[in-house]
Amino acid sequence: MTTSRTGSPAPITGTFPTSDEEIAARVKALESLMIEKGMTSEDAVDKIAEMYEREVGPHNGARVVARAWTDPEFKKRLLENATEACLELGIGGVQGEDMVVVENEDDVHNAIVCTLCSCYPWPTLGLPPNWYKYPAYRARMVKEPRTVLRDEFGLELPESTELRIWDTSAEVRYWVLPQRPPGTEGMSEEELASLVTRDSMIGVGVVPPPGS
Amino acid sequence: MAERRTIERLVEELPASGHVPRKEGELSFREPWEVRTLGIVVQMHEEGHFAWSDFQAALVEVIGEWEAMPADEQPTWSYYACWQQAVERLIARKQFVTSDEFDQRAEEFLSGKRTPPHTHGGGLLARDTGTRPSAAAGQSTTQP
Repeated sequence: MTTSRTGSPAPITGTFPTSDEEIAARVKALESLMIEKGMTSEDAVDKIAEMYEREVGPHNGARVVARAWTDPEFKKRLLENATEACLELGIGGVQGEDMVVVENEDDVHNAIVCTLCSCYPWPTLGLPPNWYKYPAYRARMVKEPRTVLRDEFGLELPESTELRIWDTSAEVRYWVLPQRPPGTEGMSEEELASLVTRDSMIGVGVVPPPGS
Repeated sequence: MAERRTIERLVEELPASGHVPRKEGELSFREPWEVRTLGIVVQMHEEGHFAWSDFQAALVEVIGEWEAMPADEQPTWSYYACWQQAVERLIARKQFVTSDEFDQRAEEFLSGKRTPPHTHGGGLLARDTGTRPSAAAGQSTTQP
């Protein structure tokens, strides 16, 4: 490929940003400014992004989950300070966005919502699915979570299971540590990570056993 | 709104089209900011704020600069990082924003000074204890 370069105005920055964190901040700035200046709207960009949202998997979150399943000490650290623990695996977000991980247990099931917007832990869960932003999901999960999970997501939880709905906000991003499914004994961390779904980390699903 | 077919066609017209990350023939993305960048660029073009050939030219420049860097300074190849650099140049040239405005806004996001428009508290929002027997005793209901 040949390029010809005539004298061009100085770029906004002279250097290539080198970290995902830096680039993500620049993209947020780009979107925020272009929306402010009326050159685009969040909805319009959303519509395009949603076409490809499946392509961005929650691979980082899945790695953290797999590590927590296989390393009890790591799991303890994760539950105490998720932001620090994720940094151990090289996963981090923007400063000021702390993560808190809530653990599913045999009789406790957690799910996350954001009732005011579509904030979502980008570093671990990837892009928000469209339905996460809809009033139908958000408002109803507060009022009737058990019904929503059963009717919309096919997740039927026993009545004896306590449901906890966490409001994820700009400052504190919650996400769910799902339970390790049966039939996974002896699997490597990598194999385990490939089982973990985004829905299970939001709490509208569970991690299915392998081969299901 | 642009359809997938339109986006495909636009992408094919760009330099390095042979290097576009793909999985099973579909555009593939590693990070959320990559998809966001695609969306912003395509949408602004669709709304007529710049010709695709303008974006093409900026991308050619950026890729050329990357290629010309000495190996020890050259960041890892990232197709969409080139898009992000290219659209920044484009909006500077078109004077949609000043470089100061842009750098400042980016710094605010990076440092956490700026967060999405709301700042509500967060925490345990709702609870359905069901018939769980030990639910009442000593359970923490407040956020850490």
